Amino acid sequence: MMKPSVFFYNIGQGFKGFFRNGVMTTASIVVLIACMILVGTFYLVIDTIDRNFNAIENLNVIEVMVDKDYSEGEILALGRELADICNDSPVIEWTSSEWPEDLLIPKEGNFKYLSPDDHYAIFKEMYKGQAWVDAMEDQHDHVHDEGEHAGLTSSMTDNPLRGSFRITFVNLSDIEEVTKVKSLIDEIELTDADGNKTDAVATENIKDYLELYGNVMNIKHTLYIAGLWLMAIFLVISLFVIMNTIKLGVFARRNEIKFMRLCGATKAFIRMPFIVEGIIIGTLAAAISFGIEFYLYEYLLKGIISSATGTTGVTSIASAPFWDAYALLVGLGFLAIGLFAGIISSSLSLKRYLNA
Amino acid sequence: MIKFENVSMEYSNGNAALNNVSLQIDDGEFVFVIGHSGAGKTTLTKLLICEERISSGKLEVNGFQLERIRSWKIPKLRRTMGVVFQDFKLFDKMTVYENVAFAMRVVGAKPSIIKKRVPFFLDVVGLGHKSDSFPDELSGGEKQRVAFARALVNNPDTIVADEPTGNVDTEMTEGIMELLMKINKLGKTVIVVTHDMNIIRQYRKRVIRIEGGSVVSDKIGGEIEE
Repeated sequence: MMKPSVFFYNIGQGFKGFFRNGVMTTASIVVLIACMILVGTFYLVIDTIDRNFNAIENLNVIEVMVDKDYSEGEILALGRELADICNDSPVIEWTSSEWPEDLLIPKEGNFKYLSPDDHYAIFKEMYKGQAWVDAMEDQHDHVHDEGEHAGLTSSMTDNPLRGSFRITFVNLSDIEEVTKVKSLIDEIELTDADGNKTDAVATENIKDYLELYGNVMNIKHTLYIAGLWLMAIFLVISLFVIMNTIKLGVFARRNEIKFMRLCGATKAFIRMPFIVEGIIIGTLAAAISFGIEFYLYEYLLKGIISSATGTTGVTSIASAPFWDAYALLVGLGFLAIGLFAGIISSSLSLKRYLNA
Repeated sequence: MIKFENVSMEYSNGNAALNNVSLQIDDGEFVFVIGHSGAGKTTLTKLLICEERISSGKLEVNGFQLERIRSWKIPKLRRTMGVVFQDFKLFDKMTVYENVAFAMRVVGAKPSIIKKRVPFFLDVVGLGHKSDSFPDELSGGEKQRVAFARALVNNPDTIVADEPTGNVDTEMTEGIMELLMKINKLGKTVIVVTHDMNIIRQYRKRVIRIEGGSVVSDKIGGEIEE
């Protein structure tokens, strides 16, 4: 057990060492900061993609658009076919029990029907307050009486929108299964009154963002691999620079170290000031990196994310609040990298001088 | 006690430094070790503080068996020895006080103990009034005495002095030898590695002569031939 006086003496020596080689110490901190910022930024970008990806409604759904001239019976028949596919698929959390025979087609859940009127309501909500929407509303003639209308076709004569079945996937990462669902939908056939089979859903009527999803997955994967490589490279460079910084200190004190050994100082005692120096470098680099990462995320990454939102056509990508979502993890991560680099490099720097 | 039993030591390049050395130095003895350059004197002192390891034989130093000593025990062994180097190995940026205190600090001594012992040992070597001086403000003899204070301050059982009079004049040599005698009278084992035949004759102590890595004589000082 180290005595308090020895502990504090070595801490003091560590601080002395920290200030001894100003230029090299600064270089070590700068390289370590570069490493941490790089790792942190890659992590934040990847995590933002992850956080948003499954939450974005437009990305994890397949919208099966219904032909405008379909009758309510045909819509129901198509619905039943789709329900069977959803029931059997592991990537859609939906069972046929959610649509008992005697109830109307589901309007909620992972498999649901949105009538032309529903789409119209969504459309109106989206452009709420605009004069042309209000003007359009006033012109509608309702063709059905509420009592007769099952709610599957439009109640308005001039509603240009079509109804659709919306299938929500809970697990988009199984891209093969999702593609399989899509092809099953494409193969659905309905039998008409004469017993003829017809293609129920034209391929162009199956709307999805699977291609976008695949692209985002590829970007994410590339970022992940690039991040790991860059982290490894920068970590090695950091170790190298810190090692050389501490080696300068070790070299300047080589006679002291030799004398300490001959006097009976333990290896731990000799090593400690240099490890403290490494810890100071690592901790300081971690603290500075944390501050920079915070500002990078708040003022740069969020901006890039929102501009990316516009180009992908996705309605919104949410950025998690830094303090709630990342502060602890990023802080601890940076500290871990800093301490690892500081301790490992200082231990390696001393090895040669400690061999008795 | 220091006991060499058929000790041989060979460097990694194959050069034999010591051949089959056997000798014993009892606690409280005063011993001169002499020999020409390259005879093996320095190797012998390096073996005592485990700076080098023996190749064969048995070596006991102050209760430690060095042929099988574990590396974590080496600091403990070294704390039983006080070594005075020919080039003093004082630190220029430390005062006399700090140089002596440093030897205590590195073995984990408490600051309160350091404050008591350092002035005491500076007085023992007659340098109490120079505690705030830096090494470059001291004469060769004074530097040597600082080195002695530093070797003594951790209360070792054995003092090894490597050419302690090599860098000082005749008057200082006498002062240093008187100091070594004083240390010996305190019950410490003193081993002096030297070339100076005058002091060997003058002080009539045990003299071990090493040549070619072997002990060629082990006698009382007055009987030694150059």
